[in-house]
Amino acid sequence: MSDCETPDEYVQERIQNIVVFMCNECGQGSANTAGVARMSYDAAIRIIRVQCTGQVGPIQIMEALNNGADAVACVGCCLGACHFFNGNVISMHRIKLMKKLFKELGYSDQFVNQYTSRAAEGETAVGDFEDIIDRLTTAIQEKGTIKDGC
Amino acid sequence: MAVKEDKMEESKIESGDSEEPRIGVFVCHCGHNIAGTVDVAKVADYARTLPNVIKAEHYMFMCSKPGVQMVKDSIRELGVNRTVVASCSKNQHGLTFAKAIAEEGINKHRHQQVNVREYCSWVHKKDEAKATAKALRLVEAGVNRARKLEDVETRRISTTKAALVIGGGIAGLRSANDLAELGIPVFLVEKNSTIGGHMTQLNKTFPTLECPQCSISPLTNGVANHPLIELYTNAQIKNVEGSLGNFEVEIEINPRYVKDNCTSCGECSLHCPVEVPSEWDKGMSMRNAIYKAYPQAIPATFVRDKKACIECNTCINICPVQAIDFSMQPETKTVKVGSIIVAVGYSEYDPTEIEPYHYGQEGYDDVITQLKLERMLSPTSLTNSEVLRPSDGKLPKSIVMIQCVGSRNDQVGNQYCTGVCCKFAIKNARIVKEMYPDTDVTICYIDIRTPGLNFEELYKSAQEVGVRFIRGRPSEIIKDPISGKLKVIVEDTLSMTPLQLRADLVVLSAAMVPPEGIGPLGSKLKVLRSKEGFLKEFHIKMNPTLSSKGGIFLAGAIQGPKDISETVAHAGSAAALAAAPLVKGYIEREMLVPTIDYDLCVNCGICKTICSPAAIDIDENGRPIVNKIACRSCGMCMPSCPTKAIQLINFTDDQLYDEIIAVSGGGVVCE
Repeated sequence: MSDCETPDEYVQERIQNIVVFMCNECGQGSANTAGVARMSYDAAIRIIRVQCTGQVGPIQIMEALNNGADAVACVGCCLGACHFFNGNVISMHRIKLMKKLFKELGYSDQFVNQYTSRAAEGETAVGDFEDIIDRLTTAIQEKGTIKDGC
Repeated sequence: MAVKEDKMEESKIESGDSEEPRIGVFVCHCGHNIAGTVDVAKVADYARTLPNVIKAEHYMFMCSKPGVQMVKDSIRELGVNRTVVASCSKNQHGLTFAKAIAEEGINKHRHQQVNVREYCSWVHKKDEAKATAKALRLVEAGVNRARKLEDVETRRISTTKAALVIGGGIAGLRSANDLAELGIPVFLVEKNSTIGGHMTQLNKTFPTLECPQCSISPLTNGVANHPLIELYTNAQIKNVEGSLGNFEVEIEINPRYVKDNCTSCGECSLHCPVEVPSEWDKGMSMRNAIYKAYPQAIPATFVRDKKACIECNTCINICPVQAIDFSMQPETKTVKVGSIIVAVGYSEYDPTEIEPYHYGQEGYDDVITQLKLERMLSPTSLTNSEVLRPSDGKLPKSIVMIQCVGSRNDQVGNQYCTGVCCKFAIKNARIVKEMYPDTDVTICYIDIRTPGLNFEELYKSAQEVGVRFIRGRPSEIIKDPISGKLKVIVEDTLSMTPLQLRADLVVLSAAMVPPEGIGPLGSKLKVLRSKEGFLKEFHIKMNPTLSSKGGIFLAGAIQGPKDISETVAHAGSAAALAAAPLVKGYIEREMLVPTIDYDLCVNCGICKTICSPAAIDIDENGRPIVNKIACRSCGMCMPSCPTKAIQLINFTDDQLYDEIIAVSGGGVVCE
């Protein structure tokens, strides 16, 4: 950390891009609703459209982190409302396992997260994005970025 | 034949792949919506530098006619074969451009929509530099993604014009009738010997206190006599093959041991020496071994209960038309249908597992369920519509009804509210109170839930006739050791007073639970069930009628507890949805399905276990095969595959990787 930076600035500078896999249904829907309602969130959030969060595997998550993403998140439909039945639950289990893996490797488990949102409510998506950044901020303050760990 | 088609398709995709990608990028200003925040000229300039990009332009309104024309011209003049439009969301104008390129003879799946409005300019209004930087990344990702987009074929699948309805209750009858009225042949399969279901057991229907038998008989008669409906009673589903549009179903029909020439005279039943409790009457009366469930039963043909029969042959000798034949054998019938409607209804919750209520235990005969009370009140009952205590046949002086037995109860595993118990309890309480004004009728409730037209009025009217409502869930029903009388222990939670209510008759408002045998049926149909055991709908809000599997629809209480009006509405919706592909004669499906690379596949079958619409089968060689019609293109099979053998077209790991690099790039790449 250079001397001229406050801790906040230091963290903010290190949150440049967060890859968010959003499902084609509620995930994309809520992000669209948020956009239409002109809500605002951090420009670091970058959305990739997938059919279902169940489609996002460890490969995709690791590729994103390896290519410079500061964190990865999956946003799916609410529990019980997955348009493909249980894709969100499967993804949740997968992310849980990945968090475990991250911990075992000595990283913070906040670099990868799973969220849900509701297509009709843009707030849910924005809330998810804010939460990603909050968690990542705390994680970076505690243990540093994922790149620091390499 | 299906296999042959698959091979043709695969070769087609490969040939399409070899062509060099020529990408056209179009950035929309959307007035000031995008251009006000994002430097569109910079985005277009950047796009021009990307590999394979032939043309990159920015324009005021891409969705306008000149904008669309720009896209079309680029295809015609420059030979662009993949288009990327950076504008609004895919839902809004993605289809506009996809259609436009389709008009120019390019597969519409070669269009890639990049959302720089909702995902970028509108949400990062304050920071133009960051928004532009993000737009660059998004457009690059779009270009990367477009580079490997493949053609997706739209295939027309012809459907079998016939439908199968499982369950002959009100839901099944309604949907069978609606389907037949649309000119679709229907096979109606009923497990019991008669159709009509639970509705025929009821005494009165809320809120108007109508006679259910009168309401349902036109439908039962209509269904039984409809030329397009083939009715199978005493039948069950043995096996289901196929998918959306073309199912092959094996139905096992158990014999009635009475031939169709039965005149329903009833001589056989009159002389039968065997008596067993009647299932239809909830054990409130007896029936013979050869019987008709109830006088208005349809089909009117008698049926022999093989288990109860002692084979004395009295009925055979007495039958005036020689209709009885003990040598009849079960038969299996295979039918081909296009849609299946599951309308197997519900079962009344069996309260025996709630120990403190002592239901069904010796000495507690006076603890009954609402359905038994309905049977007692009905015009054809053994008690002649009187409410009498099962223990001694006397008129009860006080009746206590207990709500939420088996529903809203975590201990028995049912968190849900059945939603109709309040209504039928209030209805029965009012009927009883009006019949016997001197009898105390008390309802112990947690919350009274009477939403909807006319139901609050029903509640009020019950209060007016003097039904007493106590807010509290009874903890126990005890029997006074000296007098032998039942007492219900409850705390009135509104006045905070513990009470002991004397009860000559206790009526439990038992929940609606999934019907018996739903497990095996569900697995034969390969549909998913909710955690409560009901069949799971496709989407709770947007499609509560479709099941997890295309072509299989849910009608009535099998999707969740419903009253009769809701059931009828749900069944009508199921019929309409099931009929749509059959009336049209075909289904159009985009073949956005996974392909399996058998060189990589290790036949582990994990993809099969994860596939929620059961679209992956294992063939005779143990290899997984994708059923392209049943597939819902969710891509869940992809990460489950340990060897990356299964890949969803246009969402392959390779394609996603290209997009991920572009999106996540820009930071420091980890060495």
